[in-house]
Amino acid sequence: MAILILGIILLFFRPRDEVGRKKVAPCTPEKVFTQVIEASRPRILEIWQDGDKFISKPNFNCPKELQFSKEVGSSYYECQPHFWQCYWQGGVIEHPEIETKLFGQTYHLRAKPSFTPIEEFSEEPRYYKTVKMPGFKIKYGYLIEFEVREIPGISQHMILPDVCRDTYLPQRIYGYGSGNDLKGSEGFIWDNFDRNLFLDKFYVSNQRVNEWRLLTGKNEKVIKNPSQWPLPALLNQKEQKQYCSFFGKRLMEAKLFDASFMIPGDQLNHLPAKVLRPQTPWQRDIGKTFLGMSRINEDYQLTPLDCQLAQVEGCPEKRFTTDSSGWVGINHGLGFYPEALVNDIEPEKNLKLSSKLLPASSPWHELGLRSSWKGEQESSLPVAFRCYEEVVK
Amino acid sequence: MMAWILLILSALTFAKAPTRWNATTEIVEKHEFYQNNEVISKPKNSWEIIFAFIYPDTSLNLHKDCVYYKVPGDGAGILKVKISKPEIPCEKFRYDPGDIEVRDLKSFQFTISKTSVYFHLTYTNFKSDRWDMFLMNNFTAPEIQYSLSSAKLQSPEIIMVASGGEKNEAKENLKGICHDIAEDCSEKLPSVCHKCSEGWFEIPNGCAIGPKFCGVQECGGKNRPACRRGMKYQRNKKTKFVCSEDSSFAYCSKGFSVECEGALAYCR
Repeated sequence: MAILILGIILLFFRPRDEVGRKKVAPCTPEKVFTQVIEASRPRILEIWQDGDKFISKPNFNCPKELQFSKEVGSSYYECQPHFWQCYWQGGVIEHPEIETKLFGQTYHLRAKPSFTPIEEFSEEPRYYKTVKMPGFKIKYGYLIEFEVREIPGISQHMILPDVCRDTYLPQRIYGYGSGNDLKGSEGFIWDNFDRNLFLDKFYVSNQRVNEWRLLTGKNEKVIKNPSQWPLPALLNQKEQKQYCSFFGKRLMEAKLFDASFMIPGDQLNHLPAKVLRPQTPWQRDIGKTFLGMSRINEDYQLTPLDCQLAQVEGCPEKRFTTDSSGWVGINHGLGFYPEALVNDIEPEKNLKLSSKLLPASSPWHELGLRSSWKGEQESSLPVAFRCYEEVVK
Repeated sequence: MMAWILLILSALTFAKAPTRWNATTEIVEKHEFYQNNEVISKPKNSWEIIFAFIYPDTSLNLHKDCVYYKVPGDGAGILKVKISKPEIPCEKFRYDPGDIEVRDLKSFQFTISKTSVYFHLTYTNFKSDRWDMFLMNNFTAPEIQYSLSSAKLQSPEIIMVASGGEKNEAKENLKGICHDIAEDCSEKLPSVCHKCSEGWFEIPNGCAIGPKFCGVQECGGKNRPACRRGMKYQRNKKTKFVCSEDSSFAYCSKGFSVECEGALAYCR
């Protein structure tokens, strides 16, 4: 008898299997809805931030939003509102829904076409609305709305921030300008300790400028042809600065450009005794690169790899590719488009001239060399631009 | 206006946890003494401000719901919620009727954590109720590292917003100084530079963090602020530079030189 009682007592104190316990569903539809949203968060972010994962070939059908082109790299589809529109209007898969299993039941989350059509793009209601966010730490985002098929009558609005646009410039000592004529001197050096600088990874595209035009009510200036949207926006200098400041950013600076492409000798030592001035983003000495070889060999034949590193004259066009990435993750250090820069050290040197307009043998294809731009676009000299942002913590 | 009326009507109709609190971005004006799970019993008969939820609506207007509690004494306790604006202190409505009022309370407890808020309400008839709010916008800024984006540093990857708000309200357009730093490098006021509509600029003053102003102002040119060059590239371990003695923390464009106005560096 005593053993029996002891057994019952021990049974009462036995360790419970936590995994085996079934979670109880919340009692109100609002709470279930919230849980479905929470559980679907990773998938929502995947569709927004990694749109490129869904596009392997021209497997999408939304000609008014996206037009497949081999010239456009996968980064174009990341945090891309036109991809979001395409996905949810059924241009990627037939019945787009996020399936989530919770409390033994399957729920289907779907975006709502809640926003008025943008006539410049299509007549379809939009699955997003670009919004400026004054008072928030981030300056703009994309308003969306979700519903759950199994829980009618409830929806949730949310903002998707653009987390794909820029990247951090580490805090350390940097050099400005070419090292060719330093003759042993240190040249202009500076540091960005106590500053949080974030640099656009790519040129500002027509697609981004379209959003700016719509937000500022200049709809007549919107470029309507989707095939033109991934191209760099060609604005005059005044508009470039207006575009950047509208989003709380500034036009890219020459010294930041050099910092982001001149790879340090020792990335772990942020206070090096000597600051290097590499001539290219990939090799300290240009002589060992295809650009150096082209200078001494007139018959040098460009390879596909050369064109990935720096799109020079004779290379096929490509945009939003990461093959030319510098050491911090921004692209297009040499070649591609001429790029506008603000230069507060030598103001007249405000143009990165190295570009697809010049042959590989051109002496301009070298880091730290800059030309002058008067600030107006010309058909013979299309000038791209990008922004940077300084964040106060 | 219509949206406001609907918001208030819905609040009056259902005395349960408003779902809009799931979109809370900040909890402010928290009572300095009351602790999590504490049964609030003092001072009797007084109206106490417990805290306030700040949340955005679909037009990205920010709202503030002030939560008050009348501590039971001569009568039963009352939980009151007043819908307001972030710039208005909850104090203003301490004695006004609420947009939500839960009466006949014997006791009230709350628990705030990073991800949730709970209210535990016990009525004079000994029934009880629990309000669960899941703070879906909870956010901890990540460590700064390679490849981090500015948006990930400053915001959750998804920001929930509350329903309602068809109309954009006029937003505060901050002007002038947005980060006030004294000459001795102490921070007079924390930065509000994110509220500048077109960004901000800094005037270097020889401190690790310089004063900042809303607006667009390029540095380095004639009569403009000098540009910040840094305080460590000199490798002399100084933590503060006196502008008139050593202005190497700033620079000007070719053709101009640094001149100091007090601690601030300009180009002439």
